[in-house]
Amino acid sequence: MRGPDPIGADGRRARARRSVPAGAVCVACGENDPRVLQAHHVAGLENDRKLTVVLCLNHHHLNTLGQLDLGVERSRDRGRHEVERLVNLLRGHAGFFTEDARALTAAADGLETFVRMLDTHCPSWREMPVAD
Amino acid sequence: MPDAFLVLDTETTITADQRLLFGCWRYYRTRWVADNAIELSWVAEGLFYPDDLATWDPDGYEILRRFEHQRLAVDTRDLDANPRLSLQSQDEFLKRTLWIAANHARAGIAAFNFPFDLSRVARGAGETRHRLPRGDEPARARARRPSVLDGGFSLMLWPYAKDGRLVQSHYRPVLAIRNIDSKRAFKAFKAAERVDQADQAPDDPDSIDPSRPWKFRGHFLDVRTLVFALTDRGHNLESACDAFDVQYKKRKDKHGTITPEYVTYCREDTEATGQLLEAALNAFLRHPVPLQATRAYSPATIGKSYLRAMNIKPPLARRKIDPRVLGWSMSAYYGGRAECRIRKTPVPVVYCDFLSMYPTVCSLMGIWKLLTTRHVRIDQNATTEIQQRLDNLDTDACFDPPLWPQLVGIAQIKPDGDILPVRARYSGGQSWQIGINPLKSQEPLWYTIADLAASKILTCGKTPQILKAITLAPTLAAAVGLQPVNLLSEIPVDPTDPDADFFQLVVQERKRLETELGKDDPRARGLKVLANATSYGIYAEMTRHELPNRRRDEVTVYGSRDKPHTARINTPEDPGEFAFPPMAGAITGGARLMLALLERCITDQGGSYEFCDTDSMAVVATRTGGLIPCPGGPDQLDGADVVRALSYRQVDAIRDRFRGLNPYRGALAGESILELEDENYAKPETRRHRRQLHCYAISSKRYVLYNHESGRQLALRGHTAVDDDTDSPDQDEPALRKPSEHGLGQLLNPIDPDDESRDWIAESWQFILRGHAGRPDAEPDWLDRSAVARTAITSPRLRRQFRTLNRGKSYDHQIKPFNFLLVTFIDILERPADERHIVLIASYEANRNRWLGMCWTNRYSGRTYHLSLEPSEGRERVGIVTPKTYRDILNGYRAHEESKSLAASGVPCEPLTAGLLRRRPVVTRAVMHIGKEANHLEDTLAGLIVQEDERTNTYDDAAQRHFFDHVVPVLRERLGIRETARRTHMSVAAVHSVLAGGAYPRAANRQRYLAVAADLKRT
Repeated sequence: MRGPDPIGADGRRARARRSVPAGAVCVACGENDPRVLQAHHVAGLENDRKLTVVLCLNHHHLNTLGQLDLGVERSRDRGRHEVERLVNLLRGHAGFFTEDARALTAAADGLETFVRMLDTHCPSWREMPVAD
Repeated sequence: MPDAFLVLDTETTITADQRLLFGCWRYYRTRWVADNAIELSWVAEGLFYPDDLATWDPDGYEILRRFEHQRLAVDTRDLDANPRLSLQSQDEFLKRTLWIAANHARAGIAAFNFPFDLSRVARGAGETRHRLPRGDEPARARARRPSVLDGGFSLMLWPYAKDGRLVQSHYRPVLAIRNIDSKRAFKAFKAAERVDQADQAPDDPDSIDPSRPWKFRGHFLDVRTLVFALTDRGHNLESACDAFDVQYKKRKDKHGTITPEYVTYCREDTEATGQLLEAALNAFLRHPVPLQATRAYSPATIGKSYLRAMNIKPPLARRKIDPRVLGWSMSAYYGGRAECRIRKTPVPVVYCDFLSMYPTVCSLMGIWKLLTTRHVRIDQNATTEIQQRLDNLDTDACFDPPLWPQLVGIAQIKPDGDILPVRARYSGGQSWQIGINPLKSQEPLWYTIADLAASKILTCGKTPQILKAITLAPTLAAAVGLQPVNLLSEIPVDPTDPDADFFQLVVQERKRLETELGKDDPRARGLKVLANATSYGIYAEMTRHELPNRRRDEVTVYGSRDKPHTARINTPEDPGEFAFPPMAGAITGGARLMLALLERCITDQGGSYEFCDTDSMAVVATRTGGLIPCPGGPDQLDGADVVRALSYRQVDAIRDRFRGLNPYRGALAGESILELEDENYAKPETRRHRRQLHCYAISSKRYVLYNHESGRQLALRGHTAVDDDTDSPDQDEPALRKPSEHGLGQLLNPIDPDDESRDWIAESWQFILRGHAGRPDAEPDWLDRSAVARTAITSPRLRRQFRTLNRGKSYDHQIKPFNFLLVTFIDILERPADERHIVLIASYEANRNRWLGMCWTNRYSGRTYHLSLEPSEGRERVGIVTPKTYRDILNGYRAHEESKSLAASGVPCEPLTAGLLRRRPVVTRAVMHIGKEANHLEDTLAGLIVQEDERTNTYDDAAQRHFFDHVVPVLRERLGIRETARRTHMSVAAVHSVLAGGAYPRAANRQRYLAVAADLKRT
């Protein structure tokens, strides 16, 4: 088929949507709109089909770039040895944790800024009871 | 609702194999334009062809190539719409388009006549078998009842080649299709052994029961089925488009050879199917019911969904009901009353019918209250009360609406000349007919109270003596959790409102819409379908399962007797979701009471009727009344028998009496529920100029209504019928108003077998009327052509008949599932002596000239024959038979006896019997319990099934008991399996299944066992 392939696009989108469990959120930013959530294969689809985390489109893209930077072999290669697969698994995890660390750091920074703002505008907030 | 639809259509060769020639598909995305309205936006289109087309039709292949990349006016709002037409091989289409759309995108796959199209693109076909799962016993017990798909076809769409053979992939499902009838089939993926993780997740997890394993079954939609569910009529593509206001005109192109025009025709068909799908889906979405469009198999499915939407629990699910009561009620259940009273004698009539008969009866009887009550109160001690009620009942009392809710129930009587519905083999053959006849029985029988009331009306006051009576009534408390719903999304119905009546409301609203917007308003038609769908059939629904390998399960039979008995059955029947026999019986009994009241009103005035059919009656009547010649008539004039015709005024007075039974309000308030049909008017739209209608009836459901100017055939005495008819172009030819198609509709058009026009049936009736008038001139020129019906290979069993023909061929060249078949009819005198039953079938061929040269197979014996137009005239011929012609069929048609009635002379109705018929007294010799009668209805009508036991269960078959108790032990012990096989000329496996496996052979084979056992007994 030459030109755009709407059936293939729908198939890919639908499968991507189905691979995200109901009620899931992006583990990096907490986005919960199911239209922008996808399952990210941490070690690459061909290395481990079942090892996935839910990410939003932005973080999926960043994680995929991270995988490529770290040299994760993502192509289909039936001759790939188990040890090579484990290498990819480790690199994939490293990439994910790197991205995750970056996202968590950004979230922590954001929260810290928020605390400062509360101190400025609502200093009594520290007197409020803390849930056990 | 799927997010997208792939609509496809295929074209085939016109050879016996009907293999794929090419096909067309269109891909649409679903856009929601309102809460209950969608728009299908066209985003891609393609053609596909058999992989090897270039080798056997290079010219056709080149023509298809020329269409590739043609520019398309797709919906440009979709950024990834493909504006170029694509061309794919069958393999590419299956793998890249159908698989991705059906499985990955979970798009709806739609076609008009889905089974035929999908069986064209398939790579192979097998049989869906019932397999007990491995594992724990509870799981095996649960799966013991076959699924609805068992006994159907499994189509292999995505196999792979292994050792030169196509093998089913473990990763791809097969498509299972089990035919219900020509309009409906169950369709689903049978899940692959291994499924990708992404395909295991449901689209909507909230709607899934997490305790049960979920598998994706596909979204397959036959547009023809959806249209049937919405309109309650079978349609072809053209008529369906017409019904849904879709612009489409079928091209008259030559089929079977690829030409540019033929490709354009196929593309137009696909486009029309897409537009029709959009219109039908929008009509379906107006029903706010929890039902997928792909599961809307019939109007009843939609009706049941409304009841579910209102949270109405099926009566049998509310409280356990004594199964004996259900059995007694089922034995009291009969369908509509259809009979011919004046046979082969044309008489002037007024044709009346009851306004929405079943909904009206439901409304009068308070069926809605029974549906919405917390429990149905069943009183098994109502004998005295019902006896008193019947003692005090007369015709006037039946016109009092408060009586009707008291008629819901059944009673046991010992009939002694009471006029009651009797199901019997009146014609002496195998089939069952229902007649309303005087009955005497030593064995007590159950009847609905409405039927007993009708008997009292028809016998002019003879009260049936009741032995036991059971009544049904609602409890005061309404069911809990009932929900209001809006019919067609706009008409509110509140089941919690004690004054509301669903049936009443639906009919009132329908009439209102018809008055305001005309009869063709789709909402009015939708309400009409809904009213009928919820007012009768669903309460009598029985589902029949076919067990594999002629296996017989033991079932408990609750019938007319006090104690149940057991029987072994290959096709057990289960009650449908809303089945409730006491209610179903009461509704049809009420309809028969309505007809009995009308009959009594007519006979009280000295009149008569020509025929009646469920909700209609043709009353012998002229404008001013008078005497009409009719053999067997009760009166005499100039030495000739006559019947009295009522005047229009008298008929109107009778209609007025039925105003009292009108349960409706609004536009219908005060109207009579007995209406005059459109055929009575010269201009039905204005309903002003009444014209004299005439009727000629042969037997029940076989009649024609017509007008004629000259009045030559009538010779009215005393009064002259004034005929207002002026629109008949030929004054000598009667102008037919309503020619019945019953008994002829299954035959192919003799003029052009591919033409679906039914004009030839009207021509047949003209021929019959001319014959009656002693003018056998001007015969239709097609009378001496072979009469042939068309059907399809709808079951693996039927396809097995072509095993020899298919052997060694690839699937493409085989006779495939859902291929069209021809069925021809053989006169009993032409039947070869060694054939017990003969039904000849052959693969479809539109060219009648080739029929004689084709090889036809007897579906019962498997022997093959050629056809000859020369009658055998007693000579013995080998492999040659003469089929019936249309002349033979029409001669048989007009000789068809009304066997449930007597001639005026008191002898049973015979082929030559004419004139006024009488009721046929019946004395019961034995009571038999049978199952649902309407199985395989279309195959039976098409002549494909002639053995009664193929379609109706017999639950207390003495012959069966005798066979297993006396014949099988003798053969097993004295001869053994091998010797029995040798003597019966049957296979060892077949004999083993009977002597060791408990299988019950079919009638023809049973005779062989009986003959061998009888020989043994003699020696």
